[in-house]
Amino acid sequence: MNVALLIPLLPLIGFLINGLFGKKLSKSLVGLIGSTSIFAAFICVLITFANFISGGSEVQIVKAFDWINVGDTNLAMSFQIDQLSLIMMTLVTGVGFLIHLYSIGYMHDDENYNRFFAYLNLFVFFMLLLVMGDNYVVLFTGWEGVGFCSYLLIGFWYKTPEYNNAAKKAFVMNRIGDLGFILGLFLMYSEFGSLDFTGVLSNTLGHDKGTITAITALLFIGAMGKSAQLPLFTWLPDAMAGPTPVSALIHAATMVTAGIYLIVRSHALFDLAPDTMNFIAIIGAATALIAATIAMVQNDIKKVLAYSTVSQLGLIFIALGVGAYSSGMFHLLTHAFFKALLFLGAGSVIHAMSGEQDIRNMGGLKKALPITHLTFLLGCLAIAGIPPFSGFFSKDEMLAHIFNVNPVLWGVASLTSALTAFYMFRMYFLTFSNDFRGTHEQKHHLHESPSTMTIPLIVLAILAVFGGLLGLPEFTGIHHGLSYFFGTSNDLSSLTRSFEGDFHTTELILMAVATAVAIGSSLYAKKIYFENKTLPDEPKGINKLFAGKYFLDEIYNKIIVKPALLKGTVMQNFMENKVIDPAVNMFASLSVSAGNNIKKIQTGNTGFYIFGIVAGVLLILFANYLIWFR
Amino acid sequence: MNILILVSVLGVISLFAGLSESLRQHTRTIIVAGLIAITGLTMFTWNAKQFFPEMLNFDKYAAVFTTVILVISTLIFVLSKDQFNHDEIHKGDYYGIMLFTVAGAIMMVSFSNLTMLFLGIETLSVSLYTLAGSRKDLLKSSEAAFKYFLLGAFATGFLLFGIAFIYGATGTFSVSGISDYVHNTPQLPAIFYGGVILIMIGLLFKVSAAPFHFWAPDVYEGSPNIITSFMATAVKVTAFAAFYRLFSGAFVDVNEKWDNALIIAIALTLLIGNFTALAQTGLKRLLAYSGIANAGYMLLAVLALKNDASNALLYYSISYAAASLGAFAVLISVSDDEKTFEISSLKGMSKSNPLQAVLFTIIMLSMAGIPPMAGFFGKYMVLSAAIKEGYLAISLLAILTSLVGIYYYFKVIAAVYSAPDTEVQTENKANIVVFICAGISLVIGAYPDLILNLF
Repeated sequence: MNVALLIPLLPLIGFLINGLFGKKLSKSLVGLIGSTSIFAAFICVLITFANFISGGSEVQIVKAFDWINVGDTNLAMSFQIDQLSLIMMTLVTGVGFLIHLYSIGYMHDDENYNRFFAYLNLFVFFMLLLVMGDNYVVLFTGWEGVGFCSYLLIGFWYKTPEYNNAAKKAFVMNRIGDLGFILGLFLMYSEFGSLDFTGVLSNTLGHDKGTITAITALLFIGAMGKSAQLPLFTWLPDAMAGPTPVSALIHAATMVTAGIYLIVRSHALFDLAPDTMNFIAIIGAATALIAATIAMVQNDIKKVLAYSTVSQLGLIFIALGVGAYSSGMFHLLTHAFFKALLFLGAGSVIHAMSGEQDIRNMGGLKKALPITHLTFLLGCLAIAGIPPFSGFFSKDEMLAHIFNVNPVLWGVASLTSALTAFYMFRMYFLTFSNDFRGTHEQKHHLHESPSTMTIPLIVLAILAVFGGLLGLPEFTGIHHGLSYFFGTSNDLSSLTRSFEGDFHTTELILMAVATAVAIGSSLYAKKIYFENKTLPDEPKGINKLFAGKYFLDEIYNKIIVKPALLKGTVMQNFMENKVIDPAVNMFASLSVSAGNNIKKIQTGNTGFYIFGIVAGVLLILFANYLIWFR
Repeated sequence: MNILILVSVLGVISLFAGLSESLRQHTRTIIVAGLIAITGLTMFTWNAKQFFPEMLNFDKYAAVFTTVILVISTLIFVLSKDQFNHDEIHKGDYYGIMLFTVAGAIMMVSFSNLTMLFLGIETLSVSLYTLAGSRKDLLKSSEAAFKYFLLGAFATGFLLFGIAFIYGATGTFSVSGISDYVHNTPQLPAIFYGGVILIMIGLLFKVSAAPFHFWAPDVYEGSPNIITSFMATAVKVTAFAAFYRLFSGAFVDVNEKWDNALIIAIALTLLIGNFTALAQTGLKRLLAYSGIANAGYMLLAVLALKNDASNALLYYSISYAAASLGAFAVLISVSDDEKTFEISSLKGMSKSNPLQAVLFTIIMLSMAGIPPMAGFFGKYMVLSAAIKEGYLAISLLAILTSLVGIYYYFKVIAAVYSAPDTEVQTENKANIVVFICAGISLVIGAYPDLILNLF
């Protein structure tokens, strides 16, 4: 058996054990099974990776079993091992393992410990299907599966109705995107006659341009839902209702990047649809800026990170829109490191504060939580784009590509980056600096988290600091790790865009500008929130708009939810109660009375039976020669 | 051929074993062991074609259906423990007659000559008339036997008349001879077609298709439970196998001359079977009408025989027999022959016997045609065979009436899970036959190829 098959299988086994028997197992055993299954999958990924490299980096298709055979269509449950899927697999299992480890400590007092690990394992299983599938149907299966797990985990504490509503909102909004995705798949199947990656992506020549644009636009609508882009992003901040490790794993590092993966995987199609690409870039830019402005005025530590995630995903989409796929992937990776780190750090803070999430009630946590503080600071430096941390390199590479194509988009992206540095340090200083502002009881309770929680923080911090080594700028003369890696594949080499003309000087200037802006806004945040000790108060002026999240929820409620509910009420009162119900009941009562009447011919009288048989014989002889039924 | 002889010999052994009191206790065990051995032998000689020249042709088709019949019969003998206790002295006789029925059945699935078909049908029928009346102490049993005999004799008249017509037209009883005649005669005489329709009517009676179904509910209701389960499963499968064998062997080339008659019968069978079942309150009568309705679906396979629907027929037969036998096994475990067992008496089974309740649910779901149970794929296969041959209207009717079927099967399931009227004793064991039948319904539903690869 191929090791690659074990990769999705191990989390599934973990899910089955914890899901079926978890109630009877001890907590430590549940945590052990949950984490070990992911760790073993991670080891398998590394083995597969090593085999792949030593095997000359040839694309491998590993078939698990035949899945759907209808007519001429044969779809297999099979996996594609190539550069792109290997990177995603490493990310999912590696970061996934760290977050499982963290959860052992974080969720320790929860009564539904086994259910949590079962869901988390199931999520990793589906995420692996998503990134490993060699056709769009397997990808879609994973896509739906992660959406479902996300729903389960957002509503994990289902006793709070608000959390349930958040879960439902996430599910419904994702469904809107999924509808686009699945329509795109239908169109793709009718155009290409196949849903295999090879069948579609290697045969892009000679197709109608409009159709390709439609397919790509529909796929992007799917990506909008899953990767929380305008206008479908409002579910992600609400999704913070889930336990913090879930936010770190699903709503920062892995699931929300599925849309990006989808586009990068299908880049051969998107390259042929410049209209869609422009659309992606514009949506990305709008999302990045809007989410960043909202993040500036949030006071919930997780909400800040949630909007930051939306904003960073928007930046990646701009990069994809200008065709800088490998830069987008690079930022996806570094973002996964530092955003998972920041979420887990936030979780550690919340853990210490006994559930408090409002940064206005924190402050001065530096001393009580030394490891959390240090790792969190490193995460902030990375996301703010301050050299030499990882975020600097990935963001810089994206910005350079964006500038090379469209300086206006670059302006928006740079502004977003400046805002990012500002709101991250605003959060950092409010949380860790100055004096403690919480209650006396909370102060008494403050403690550093257990080692199962701090070890993942430290590992992720190391990744967040050094992750930039994966893609040093061209002018350093060192091979760009990621681009070089993609370059070893025929299909994926076009993921890397080269600059037009001599761009090194411009890139250096852009870099200097970006660094200056990042440091400047960080210092500005320091001045306001550290030196002046300002506390956020009631938002005024334009901040009202930001704090109200552009009133998108209210607008959606008014123009979509309310009319839909109204339609539902009308349908219920008229169609259902007056038309459908009576009609169905009529058929039922007709059937029963027909039965009662036909029953009467069963008289029990043999003479009558013989009469019936003779009548039947006559009927059949008669009908056989007179009526033609076919 | 050897199988036929062995089964008959086993019947004779049973008759003689019944004479001695000490042997009588073990007759059933001997028969079950014997049947298992014979089933094994049948499968062992699967591909060895055996002829009894011009009379029997023991080909693959015959071997497969013989195996099915033997397996069902074995299960029924397993089930018949304590079923003939009212008449201890004649136990051996009943067992013997049941085995002769099986012998008749084997003739019916392996004939290659109309005389052998007739002989098989009569061997089977006469034995069944006797068995239907085997509860001599119960009036309804005798009534059932008498009705069955009168109506059966009447139908046999049609069959014999049809055979005579065919002989008159073709001058032969041999199936292959008739087939050759059809091939080589440009203008077939009207008497030939008349014969085909009359034979069809005779066989429609045997498979209890409407409008010749009148005997079935009354006979099923009055006969002892174990005999009813035998009639509803082994006998029904046999009748269909014979029907299909004759019509695909001899009359396939003139199917446009008889398919209208069959369509009428199917339509009536589906409508009468399903709708009358709706109005039933007794479980046994419900199963009787369900048997009639299922005959309608199985006839679709006969209708579509031009394009070899034998696979579909075999699959449907097995799935139907498994579900039906399972349901009767449940019935036997909860009721006796004397009183009518109402569906509402099933209430509380989920409490009193949860395991059996679950198995019974699986069986009923299979009957209703819910995937992934075997019943669903059975319906799917016969319907797709019929649609491929262009019989759209009747297929549509079959689909619509199967919706009606879901209602009354679910009525049974609902009763099983309703709160009991009285306090119940909990036991958690199910009859082995129920277990096997539910297992078959699930396994061949999940892996239809297990059956489909037999041919």
